[in-house]
Amino acid sequence: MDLPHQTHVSLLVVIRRARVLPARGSIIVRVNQKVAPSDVIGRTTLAPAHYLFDIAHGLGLPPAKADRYLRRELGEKVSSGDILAGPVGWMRRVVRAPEEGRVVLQGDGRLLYEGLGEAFELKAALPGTVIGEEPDVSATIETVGALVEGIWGNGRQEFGVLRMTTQNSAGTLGATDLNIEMRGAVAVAGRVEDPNIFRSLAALPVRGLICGSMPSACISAAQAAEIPVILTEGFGNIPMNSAIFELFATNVGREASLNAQQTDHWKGVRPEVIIPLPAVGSADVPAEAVQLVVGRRVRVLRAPHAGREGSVVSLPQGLMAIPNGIRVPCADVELGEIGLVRVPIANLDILE
Amino acid sequence: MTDPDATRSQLDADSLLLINVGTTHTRVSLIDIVERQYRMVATSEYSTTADAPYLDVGEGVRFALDQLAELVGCEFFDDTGQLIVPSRGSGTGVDAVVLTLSLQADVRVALVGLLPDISLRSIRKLTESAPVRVVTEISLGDRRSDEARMDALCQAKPDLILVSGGSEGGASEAVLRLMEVVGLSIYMMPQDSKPQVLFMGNSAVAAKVQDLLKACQCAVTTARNIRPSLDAEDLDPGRVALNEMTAQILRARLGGIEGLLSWTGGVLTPSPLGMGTIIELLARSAPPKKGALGVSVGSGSTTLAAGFGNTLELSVRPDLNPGRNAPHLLELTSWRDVARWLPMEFSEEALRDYLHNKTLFPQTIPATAEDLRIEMAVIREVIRAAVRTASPSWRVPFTWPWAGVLPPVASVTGSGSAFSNVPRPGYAALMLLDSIQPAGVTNLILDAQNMMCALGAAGRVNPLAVVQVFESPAFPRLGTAVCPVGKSHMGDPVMRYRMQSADGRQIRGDVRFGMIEVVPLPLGQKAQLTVQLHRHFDLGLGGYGQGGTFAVEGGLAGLIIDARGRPLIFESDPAKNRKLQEDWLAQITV
Repeated sequence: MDLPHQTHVSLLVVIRRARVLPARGSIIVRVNQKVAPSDVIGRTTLAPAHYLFDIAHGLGLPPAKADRYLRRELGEKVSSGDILAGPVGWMRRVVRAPEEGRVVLQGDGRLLYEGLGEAFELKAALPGTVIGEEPDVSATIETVGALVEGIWGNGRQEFGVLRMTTQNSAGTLGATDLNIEMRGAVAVAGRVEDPNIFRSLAALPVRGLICGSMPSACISAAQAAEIPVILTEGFGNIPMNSAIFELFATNVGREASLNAQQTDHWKGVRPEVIIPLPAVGSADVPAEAVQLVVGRRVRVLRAPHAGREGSVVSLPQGLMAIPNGIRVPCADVELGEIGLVRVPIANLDILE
Repeated sequence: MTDPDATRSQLDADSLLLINVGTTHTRVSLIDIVERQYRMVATSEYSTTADAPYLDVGEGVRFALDQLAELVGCEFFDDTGQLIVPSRGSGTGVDAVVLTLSLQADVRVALVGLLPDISLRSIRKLTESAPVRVVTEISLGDRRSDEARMDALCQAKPDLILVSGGSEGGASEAVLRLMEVVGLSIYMMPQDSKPQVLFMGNSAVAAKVQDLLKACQCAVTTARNIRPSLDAEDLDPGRVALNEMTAQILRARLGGIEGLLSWTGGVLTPSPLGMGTIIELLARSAPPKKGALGVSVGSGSTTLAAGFGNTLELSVRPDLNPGRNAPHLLELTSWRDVARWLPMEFSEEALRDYLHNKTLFPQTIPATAEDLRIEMAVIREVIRAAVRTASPSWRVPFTWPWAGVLPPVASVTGSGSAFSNVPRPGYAALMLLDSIQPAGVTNLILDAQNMMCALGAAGRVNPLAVVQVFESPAFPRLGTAVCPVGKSHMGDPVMRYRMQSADGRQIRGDVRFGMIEVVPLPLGQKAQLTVQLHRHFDLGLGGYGQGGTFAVEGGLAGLIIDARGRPLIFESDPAKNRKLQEDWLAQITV
């Protein structure tokens, strides 16, 4: 038995996202604080350089004697050029800090020093309220809105106003579809074919791109792009799923937060688009691990009907033969104008 | 790791429950005595629930067990939801449980060695035997400062550091100096992400290394020196230790695993070791100057096990699979090498798109005939890439007469849904023949339930059950493959044969170059095959042109005479080659 893949395509849900620092640092927001997407909510430093000083050699002393000239406590923060050990002798020999940092370990005539590293700022990435915090590590932000999970992202984050650039979910975004009105917006397109489009998008500039598919040959250009790029279907020539396209079309003019993070199966993290909406009535958190039942809205993940959306009509018991002769658990799915097709359950994605 | 008391208490167990948690699927099998023989009574599978939102591998196991209980009419759980071990009479519980893990979870390892060409090379080779990813390497020969080495180790964020260096009675000061760098690096890593260390260097300094790293609150495991002398390499103890440590790291990451371990007395076997056990058994029972080979292709990794006499070679390639790392294949082989197996035109762009989509949805299965052929082409090249990398370092204790061809093996076992979930057995046989290209006479075996690793792991509990189940229909023979080595022109004569089956039936035929002939010989039937070979071909019966009579075994695909030569020759004209691919599949599935 296969558990089908699941993708959230939700019109109005409560969305909670933990924003986590890549290394321990400081979270600078508090619970119940309102945040905007561009607000910095935490800071840390990355990839600090390490220095191992032979203090004894530097001061020209035996190790035991050199320890007497150590000037800093363990963990003490030091500025660039500050004296770490010394001075010794008439030449007033010293060992100085090569950059801002801290003393990690010292003794036996040696000193281990850690530089400050590269500053990193964690942004909220979505508007909402901080509802939880793990000191030094993460903050959880809650908002209400529409949620669309993508299946591939280029790792970037941004927010902007949604604008449709193609007439339909199968339309291809070309340079001629871009105009000055797109400046600062998030472009939505059925698909992309030409890797040069990312240069055109950057030239405007737009704040992000959401499209159904693109050839895998565009991956390098998309990864190099300064804006977030999110695919909703996959690689090749697959139109954007109609339910997703319609959800974006009905929210044109609204701000959307794009988090084109890469999929992490272990953490359940996927690229996603969040469109904050005014909370009308009650909204729930998105349902997880929903069961495949008759009537469930699904999309097909693989040929011959990749990207098509429909609903489950029946779930035959046992293994069923599919046209290539393989016998697997299947579902019968009504795919609009294509009609009723039998699809391996492993090839279905529940749209919830 | 292994609890000896738990293992002892499970000896002579009657019924066995095998559990294998894979990257996309969790499989459970019940082994019990049927008519005085151990048999795999039934197998069930469910999606692995290690990923979000489940984050509990136990959930998938329980679902699979519920299905298994329905299939066999057994009760596995008591009223409180606990697995009943040992069994309480017929149909209630099981006597022992075996758990293997073939799930891939990106275990990051850093390699530390004294000399790049000696100790570092040996541990690099060792890492190929476990599902790990090398994230950085440091050695005294890398010309970096100690600070740069520390930065490299800290930034690599390894889960495990493998250290080798110093032969027995050899260098010790240099090893300790390098370990100081390792120790300082670990000291600077955050408390909750300090790696474990496996030391496989000069045993004279092992105790000092332990002391040195104890100060950094770092757990050190020691195994026998991987390079006891400059010209000797001893990978076996390190391989077991590495696989067990990898399993422990996965254990710490996997939600729900502790519940499963309570059923096994804490015993968890990494799947490569389980597979290795089966291949070792087959290699020991192979005729002289022949080995045994096993290949397992999963959506998380490809594992190759080769046994020759008493030596076992394991190669685990998490980077090489038709699932989550599918596009990596095109870094190791050209797209044309994949496309040459296809009976239709297929562009490089289309292949790249196909492979990238597989990384997004590794659990999906081919639903069209064209997709299935692409999948089969990818699997062939995945295996070929794994064999190409692993085979040059195999320790083969005999010589064989064919250059550019793998050493002769008595059997090739194919495991994974790539082989078990095909329309007809011939598809699986063709993939094994094309990818491994065995030479001489070889039995092709199918792991029909994808439980070879778990069955091998059961050897700790019940070796008799392992042997009997491997001989049972759970591991059906696809057939004996007769594969002469040699080259000729398409359509030239290769051999004349006469098969005399045990029931007196006789079949004769001529086989021409470039074709596969399948002689009907059903599963379980034995026969004598007499062959006359053309002078350009050798079957290992005494030289080129030498024929003879030997025993063959039937199988799901029949007796297969593969007269395509070794190595395989393709048509240079793409259209003709596409037709050839169509013909080969048609010939083997006739």
